[in-house]
Amino acid sequence: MLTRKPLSACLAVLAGLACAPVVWAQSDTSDTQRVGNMQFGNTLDPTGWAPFTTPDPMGMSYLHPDQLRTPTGALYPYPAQAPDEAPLGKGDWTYSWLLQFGYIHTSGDRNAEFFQMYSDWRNAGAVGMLAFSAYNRKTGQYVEFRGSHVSDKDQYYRLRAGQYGSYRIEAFFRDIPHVLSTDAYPLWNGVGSTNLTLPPGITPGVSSQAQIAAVEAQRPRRTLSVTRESEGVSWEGALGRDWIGYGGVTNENRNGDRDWGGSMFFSYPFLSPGPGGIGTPSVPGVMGGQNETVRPVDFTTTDINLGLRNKAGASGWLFNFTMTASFFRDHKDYLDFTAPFGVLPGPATSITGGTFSLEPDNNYYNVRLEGSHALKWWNGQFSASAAYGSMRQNDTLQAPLNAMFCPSGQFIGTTGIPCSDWNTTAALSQQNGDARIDTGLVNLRLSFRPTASFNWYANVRWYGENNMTRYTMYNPLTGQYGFLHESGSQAVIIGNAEAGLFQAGNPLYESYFTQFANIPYSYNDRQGELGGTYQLNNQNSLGLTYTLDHQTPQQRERTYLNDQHIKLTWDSKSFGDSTLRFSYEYQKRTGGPYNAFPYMNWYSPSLPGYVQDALGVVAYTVDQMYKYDMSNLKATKLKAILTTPLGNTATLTTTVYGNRNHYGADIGRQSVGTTGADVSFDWTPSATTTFNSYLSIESSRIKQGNVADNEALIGTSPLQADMEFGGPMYPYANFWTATDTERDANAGLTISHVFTPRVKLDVGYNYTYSHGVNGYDYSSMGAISPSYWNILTTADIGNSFPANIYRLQTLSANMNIALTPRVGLRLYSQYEFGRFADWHYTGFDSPGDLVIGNRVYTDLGPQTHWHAAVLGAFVTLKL
Amino acid sequence: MIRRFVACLPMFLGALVLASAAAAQQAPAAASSAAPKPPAFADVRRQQPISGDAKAGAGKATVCGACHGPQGISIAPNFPNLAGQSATYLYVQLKQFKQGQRNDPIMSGQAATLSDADMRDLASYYASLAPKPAGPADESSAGARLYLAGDPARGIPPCQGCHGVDAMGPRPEPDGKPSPPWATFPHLRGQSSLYVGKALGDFRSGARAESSNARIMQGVAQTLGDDDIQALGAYLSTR
Repeated sequence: MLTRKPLSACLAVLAGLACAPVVWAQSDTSDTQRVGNMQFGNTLDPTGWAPFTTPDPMGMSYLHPDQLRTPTGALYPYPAQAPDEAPLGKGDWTYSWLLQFGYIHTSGDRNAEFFQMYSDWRNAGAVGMLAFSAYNRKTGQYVEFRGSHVSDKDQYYRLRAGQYGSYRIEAFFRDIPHVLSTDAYPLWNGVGSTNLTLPPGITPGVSSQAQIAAVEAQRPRRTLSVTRESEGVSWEGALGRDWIGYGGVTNENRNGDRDWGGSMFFSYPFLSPGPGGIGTPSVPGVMGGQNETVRPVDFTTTDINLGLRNKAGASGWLFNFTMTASFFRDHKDYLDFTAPFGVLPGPATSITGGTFSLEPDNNYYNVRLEGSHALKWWNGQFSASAAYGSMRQNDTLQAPLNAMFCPSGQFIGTTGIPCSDWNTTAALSQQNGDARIDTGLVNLRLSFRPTASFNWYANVRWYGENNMTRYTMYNPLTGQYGFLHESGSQAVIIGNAEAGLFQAGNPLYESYFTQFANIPYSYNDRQGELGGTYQLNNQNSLGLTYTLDHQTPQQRERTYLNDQHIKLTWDSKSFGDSTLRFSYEYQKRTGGPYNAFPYMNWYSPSLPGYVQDALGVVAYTVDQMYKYDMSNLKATKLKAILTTPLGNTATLTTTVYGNRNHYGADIGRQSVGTTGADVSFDWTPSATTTFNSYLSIESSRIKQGNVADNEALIGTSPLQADMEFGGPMYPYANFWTATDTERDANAGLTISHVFTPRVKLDVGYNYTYSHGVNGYDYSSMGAISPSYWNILTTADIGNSFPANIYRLQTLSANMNIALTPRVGLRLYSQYEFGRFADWHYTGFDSPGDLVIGNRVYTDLGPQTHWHAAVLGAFVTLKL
Repeated sequence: MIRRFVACLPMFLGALVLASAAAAQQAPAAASSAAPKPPAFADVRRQQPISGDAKAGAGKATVCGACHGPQGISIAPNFPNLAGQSATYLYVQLKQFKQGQRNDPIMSGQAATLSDADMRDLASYYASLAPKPAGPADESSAGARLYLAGDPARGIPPCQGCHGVDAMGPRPEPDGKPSPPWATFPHLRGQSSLYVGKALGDFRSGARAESSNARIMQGVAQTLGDDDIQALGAYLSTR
């Protein structure tokens, strides 16, 4: 019997028929992400295409003039007009092209770090866009090229081709800049290489701090940045009727340099005797050294993806099989730096510099099989997936000390430790890393929809991570375990007792507490989840999910953890035309007994021949110190989103959210909380005018507690081994807390208007504000190291550091003027001004300020105030 | 080297494109000076129901009656019946004949001299006339199936969605959401098979495509075969 069909269904079909030709002109997404790179764009146009589009007044349907809304109430944007096309040859192909080129000029504080951070703005010519596309409407074949060049560090080129419903290929090349500092004054020569050397005029151990500061003051200003250059090819296509194959290779090179460390042991100001004795304020220390060096970044990551998907397989099974591999290569394996200061005052000691082993090469492999099958009962579906992965590193290992800074024939300070015992790879227990971590995953899921208004599912998941790396820090030349701390400099200052070594039978080292092997952290995770949704009526639906996550970590503070989550969702349309999406989640974590130090198997007391010191092992931590990933936890999350349509052209969206985490710890992380709200108003009165605005505020707070040790007991009393909070080693009086609070606000608006078919104007304004305070509280002066007591009073200490502030305002305008149907003008402008304050950089006003005692810094920090502008003028030519 | 090459590539290609653009600009410019300006596309999505003076329209309908019949029932199957038709539909069609979005050797000339008030009056007059009585349509015919249910497998939407279950026009319930200009959709009941076939043929070929409603029908008609059109015509003419 023929019945009357719902009108809406008919309209949907009609809308689809009417809109098919428009789809081609749409977005720049990569669909499944199986093929191609992420969003293409650059600092001139992050969207990759929007400035070249004009909204189509016909919208998405010939049926009605206004735009429809998404199921949650947001307006669909107007689609862009299809570009003009011309026949290509005598066949069915048509083509279109566009070229935009011009000049960009920057002014004001154009070297400001935040202005340049992801931009690499400069005064130069630029290609805003070069685009070519060809399309065969009869066969569905297409070719599309897009490219944009702002600078050598900010550019992309992308070629896509394929046939709808058959195959698709993509090739791309792109550069993305990331500026880390525009105000860097590295003391060393050789920045960018693996060997940092001192400039003329500095003689370690001889040059005074003032002399080194004078050299530093003359160092040239540098920009530290990393450029991500990537290229790749990928393919996805039908293999017969039921199979789809896909594969791709992406290669990313990260090149540049960034701030790095270079410790040569402690260099505390209070250790220096001054006119007022030890601890005289403002008198810098003269031992050790801490250096902010610059390291090279020269990485290559090659990702390979292969996959096969079945969309209508045998016996109703659907399959997806993927193989991925990722190869990380660090082309600069180490960093050597010469220390500007002698480790001890006076002539240079044998330890004249330090060395880093930089990131090792890494190979990662993963295979994954997913399958699903429909069930006969309750519209059910069964799905299963299994995966195996492996990460492997096997670089040649580096000698503990560098022969350049600890030459054979010399000894480390007065310790009697010969450099030759530690400056070759013969001092290692193995020559290669031989590191490996394997992972496994099995996931099973049953889902049912027994009625139109009710569905439920059950999911079980197992994930395991097995660290098979076993490395022992053992020197076969000396028979010693452990390693020389801080490139040997610690031994120079403190002597054999703190060199970092253990050796049975040797009174110098037989009681030293040190780690001698890597800790192979591993864990298993078993998770069960039960959930469902029930539609109460046409306006309301409820969802409930319960999850039990049982973790069994190995080599950790607890042998098991149980994380329970219960989540409630409510979607409602019972508030007039508005749509409410509400969710609430409660989490509770418990676990086995807490062992504050489960690592003894990898420390020297577990080795034969360890002689317990008469005073016992110093309690380096306190029993009640709970690491936050192992701690008990009660957490709540709440989020509500109300989407309110205002007529047929506007939408008001209000979001409130918050989360509260309370950890079961006094020592360690105590609590974390976030509260925020967003309001946005989007108005599209017609295809020619769009207005969007938003306001977002958020406050967050994280609090942690700790307790200072009783330094008077160390080396003097067996009570030094007492790990109890409230005991003599960690008394309540030494308790302190640190509370970091942050308030953030963002506001902005964009207006887009097509004045005539010839003139389109886009204006945007953004305001970002962040205010952070590192606060603290303490029970008594016992919480402060006694070394500072002569320097600090409670009035000096106060209860917080100065606030950190970041404020940025950006005003941008873009105007496209069509001079003729084929020639246009684009004018682009951006004005930015901001303020930045960070107490970490206090006192760094000029390069000479970067030397403080035996400490050498590189970065003066971001500019505190800046104003900068960008102007661009472009000619646009198109078909 | 590769970087330099890639950086230069857009410039090089750009120069080529510039050269070709300069050349390509010549031909269309010459062509456009000779070609008549095409009529503006008629977007009727915001068309509100019209009003007019039916009595005055009766006085202006003498010429129309020669083809469409004195009471709006046409004298030959190649002319549409106008009696009982949606006034807004008739008004919009007259406007499109006048503006050139629709072309017909007779109607284009007839509409050219009409004022906006004339068109409103004529449309109101014919809408006020009694429609052709219902016929003995076969509700199990292929045409009935297409009209009422469409054919989802072939992407054919049911005609009744916009033209009404009885082919006497849609009767929507307002829901405050963007809605089609229902009043501009014609009543199809009783139109001759010949006329229905011509109309669908014009939509399918693109001869009738210069309005938003025509674009909808263009998409629909491209899903129809000759047999489908014949079946629909037979059903509607006897409906």
